[in-house]
Parts: sequence; C-alpha cells; structure tokens
Amino acid sequence: MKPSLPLVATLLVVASLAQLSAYDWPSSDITVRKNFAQRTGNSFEPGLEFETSASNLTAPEKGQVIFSFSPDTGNPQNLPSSLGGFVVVAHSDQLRTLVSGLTPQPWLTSVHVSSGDPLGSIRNGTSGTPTDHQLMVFDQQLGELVNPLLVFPPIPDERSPVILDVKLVGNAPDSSASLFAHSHFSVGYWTLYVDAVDPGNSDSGSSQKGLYSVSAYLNGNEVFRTALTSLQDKNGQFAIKGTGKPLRDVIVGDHEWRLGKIFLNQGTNILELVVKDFQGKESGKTFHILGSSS
Amino acid sequence: MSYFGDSSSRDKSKNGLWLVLIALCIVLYLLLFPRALGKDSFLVPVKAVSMTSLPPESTTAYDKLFLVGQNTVALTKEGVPVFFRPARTLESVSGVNDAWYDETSDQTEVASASGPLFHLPGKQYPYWLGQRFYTFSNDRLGLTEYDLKGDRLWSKDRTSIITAVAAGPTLTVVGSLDGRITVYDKTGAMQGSFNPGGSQYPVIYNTAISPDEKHILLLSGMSPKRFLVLERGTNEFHPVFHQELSDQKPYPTPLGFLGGDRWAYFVSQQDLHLLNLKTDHEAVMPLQGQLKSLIYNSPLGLITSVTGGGSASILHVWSTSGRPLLFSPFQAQHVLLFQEGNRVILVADQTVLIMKRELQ
Repeated sequence: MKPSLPLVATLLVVASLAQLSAYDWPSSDITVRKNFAQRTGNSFEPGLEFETSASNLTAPEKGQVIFSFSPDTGNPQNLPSSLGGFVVVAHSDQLRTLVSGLTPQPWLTSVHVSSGDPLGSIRNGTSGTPTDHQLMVFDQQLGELVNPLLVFPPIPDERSPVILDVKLVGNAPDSSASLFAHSHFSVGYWTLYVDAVDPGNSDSGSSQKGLYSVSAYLNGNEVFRTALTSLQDKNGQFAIKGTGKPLRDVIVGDHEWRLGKIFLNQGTNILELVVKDFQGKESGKTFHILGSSS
Repeated sequence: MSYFGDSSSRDKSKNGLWLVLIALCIVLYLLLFPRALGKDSFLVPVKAVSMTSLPPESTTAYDKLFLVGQNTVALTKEGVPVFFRPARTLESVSGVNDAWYDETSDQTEVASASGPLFHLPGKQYPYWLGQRFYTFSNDRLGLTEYDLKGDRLWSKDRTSIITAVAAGPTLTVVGSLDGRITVYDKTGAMQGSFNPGGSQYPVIYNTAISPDEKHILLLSGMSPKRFLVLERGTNEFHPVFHQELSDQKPYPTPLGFLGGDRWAYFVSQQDLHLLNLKTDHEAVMPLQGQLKSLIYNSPLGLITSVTGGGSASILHVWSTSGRPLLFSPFQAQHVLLFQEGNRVILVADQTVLIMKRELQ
C-alpha cells in the first residue's frame, strides 16, 4: 500500500488547528451519534449529531447571535424540520455555528455572547430519552458546510473503523460479488463499493458512525481518495470539496461508499483499501483478485 | 358678533378665544373618539360560534383550513366552522389543502377537501405555500416541490439553512442564513439570486413575493437589519427601495403585501410599517405586543389587525394613512383574521366571531 502522505499531513495540520482552536463543545459531555456527511436513508448529516446529559447548551465561541428559532413562538417562517429550536452564532473568523435541539434564551435583540455563555435549555424527549442535537458549522466566506471536527477539540476515540464488505458490481444484471467471498472476476470494468463504519466507543449498533476518508489503490495506483472536510453547493446538490463529486453519488447507502469504476486486468490484481476516522485511526484490506477472460 | 367682519381689538381677542376653544374641542374629540370624521366603518358582530362542540372531521363542505395554535379548524367562506380538531403531526394547511406526517406509516399524507391526493413515503416535513406543495429536508438545508399528483418537480440541497420561503404562482423565493435569496421557477431552474449586503451579518429573516411576481420583499441582515423591495427587471430582481431598521430581533418578523402589490408591510421594533409601493409614502402604526394577524380591505382602505402577547389581544382598525379607527381588547392567545366580502372573520382560540363591516 502506498503511504498517503498528503492525507497524513492534512490530518496533522487539522489536528494542530483543532488544538489551537478557541472553539469548545456546547456541552462538556458530548456523545457523537452521527458524523459529518453520514448518510441515513436519503438524508445526510450536515454537521454532527450528538447527545448530552447537560441541561443547557452553550456558545462554542464568542460571537454574535444572529438567528434564534423556536417553533413555539408563533413567529412567521415557522418552517418544519427536525432541528427544533436552534441558535446561530456568527464568529469573527467568518464561521457560523448552529446548535439545535434547545429552547433558545428569550433574546429580544441580537446579542454578543462569549464562549460558554448559555444559548438555551434542553427539553428532554417525551420518552425520557435524551434529545438529539446537531452542531453545524458554516463557512460564510466560502459558502460551505464544514466538518465540525475540523474546528472543535478532538474527541477521544479508542476504536478503528471496520470494513464490513467490499463489492464489485459489473454491468450485467446480478453481476455483483463480495470480495470477502470471491476472488475470481472477469477482465473488464467493475464498480467498486465499500461498506464500512466507525464503531466509536460503544458496541451499540446504533452508534455506528460514518467514516472520514476512504482511499483505494489498484495495482499500486490510486483509484479513489476522498476525505469529508467540507460540502459545497453544486447545482443544488451537496458536492464533496476537493473532488466536486456529488455526495449522493459517493455515499450511496447508510455506510456504503461507491468508489467508482476500476478495470481488472488478466491475472492477479491487487486492490488495497484504507478507511479512516477523523482521529486518524485506520483499517485496511488487501485483496488479490484474479482476472480472467472467461 | 361677527367672526370675520371688522371688529374691535377686544372682539378680535374674543374671536381668538373661541377659535382656540373650538380647536381644543376637536382635539379632545379626536383623542377620545379616534375615528375618521367622514364615513365611519363599524365592525358589527353577526355571529359567535364556539368550536368545542364541533365534530373532528368534516361532515359538510368547507372552503378554508387554518391552524390556530395547536388546533386545526375548517370554515366555510362565510366563516361558519365545520370541524375542529387537534392539529396533526407537522400539519401544514392552505385553502382546502392539508398535509401532515403519519408516524405509523412514516409518510407524509397530502389531502384536499375531496379526499387524499397522494402520500410521500419517508418524507416528514410538508409545507404548503398557497397552492404549491413542498417538503423540507430534516435539517432545513433542502427543499423539494411536488405537483398536486405527488410527482417531484424539483429538489435543491443547500449549504446554508433555509430561513425564509415565499411562493407566487410560478416562482419560489428561498432565503437562507448566508444572507442570499435564490429564486426558482416551477422546474427548479434558478431565475435569480440576490445578496442584499449592507449589513455586518448577512442573514435573510423574512421574504414575500407579490401575487403578480413583480416584487419581492426582504427583511435581511443584522447590524443593521434592512427592509428591501426588489423589482423584477428584464432578467432579474433588483432593489428599488431599502431602509435601515433599528430592529435587532434575531428571528423572523412579519412581512408581506397588502392589496396585491400596492402596499408592503413589515414590523420593526414595536411598529407596523405600511409602505405605498407606488409613492414610497410610509405610515407607521404603533403596535401593542406582537402582530398576530393582519388583513386589508381594499375598497375601504382599511387595515384590520390583531396584536398582543400571550392571551391578551387587541383588535385594531387603521386607515392606510396610519390613523387609528378602532381599538378593542379581548382575550385570546391564538388568533387569525380573514375576510370575505364585507365580512371579517376572527378565529380566536376556540371561538369564531363573524363580523360585518358597515359604513355609516
């Protein structure tokens, strides 16, 4: 496998920035439930979905409260969403953070808040279970949704991502096979799919989160590399920054990435896959695929 | 005694005294009875109906659905209530059209007065704007429009949350947190995009589009917040009026058109601003509490509003010049107004009051 030096460098820079960042989590006990760009059904997580046992959520960094929404006020533009009440704070570095799932402070005017100031109280779910919250980061200058883990302090993570399945899908109907079970494929173009999760710190299946990056090499040549740093708006679709590919075309299932077409040659083809979480923990698999003309 | 003929200086001072007294009487009359000195418009109660005993489903035809607080009410165009029930999950209504999320089947149900229209599996956040039907994505980053058969017309994902939407017969205006509005046609093709600028923090707080789609109103930005009127040119919308506001509320406040696109209204601080879009003349009316509902009677040039906070409400009638004509406090938390001909229908919590305008 080729070392992915640029990716390592990026992670190091990002980790350094996160250490230097003045941003702090809106609660001291954060359990991340969904990672940035993680797919659930037809929806993508635009930030981080988290749980907390705190009774208040606080401003991640100093800034100006520019938007406060509470669905119960009877104000106009009471638009429906899963966010519930939310607060948006504009920071001096052109970033804006949105914290949702709270009852905002009863601000009558836009106010300046300091890091750690309360943004609102948390209403627990009707079943007594903790309410899910979201943290989104918008880059006002670039018009992008930013992976909050690029901005916020690192979250300890003991476990590496897990590759659940790797599939090759051909053009013919039913020409789909798992590389975990098959090693013989006909020569030609195949579409490569990877099913992988970041299990986080829990054994609970519900805490399986999305990956940060996926790389693939065929016979030593890079055929795919994508890291989920930011999302851009491309003709009304989320596009992955750096690749320009529509997110929906890359992450095609709840944990399934479509890496694109690869060409299998006659003889042995070596396919190497590397999946990473944001903390840089990685898992890899190498497959020897025998290409035959039959 | 002659007021205007030749007279002595003593007579002149007497005359002046009389004039002052008459002026004082007029001022006193206007203060005590603040109404037009010409023809008076009265709102005469015709009928009051309690909705608590109404059935929860329609038994006869109705013309309008409304959400009032946590309840849904169906009314005939004359204001007679037909049914009254707790609002369904994430219910959105417009005219006789209804949509809600059914948790048991995990789908959005869309219906009209004649029955179900279609359903959308897996969709959760329905929204009617006039006769046009949309769904929002979970996080308010996406908007999808459907026709009335349930076929998807267009869908957009954005990298900034949607803070305000408005729709005309063919255009949809989408305002977002990044301070930009984007105008889409019925196919989803972008017909324009506009960033008002001029504020330290760009945000769109509210937007409205006129029925003829020639004007768009915006409340945008913070420090300062601004009110803008955009006019449709040959290719795109451009600003023709803007005003800095002292308002600093970090949430959407009322904004809209009255009388087609003759008047624009918006609320800033504790005032209702009424802007004549033909002359740019602006009238400012002080509000007591927040604006709960507003209607405009075009032939009479009267604005009827309900303002207040909590369960305290006030019915106001104003002239378009901002002159107060009627002021009537009452108790109701959730209120809406609409009119049909010379009837004004006030839905107040669980009661419908039908009133008739009379000129004397």
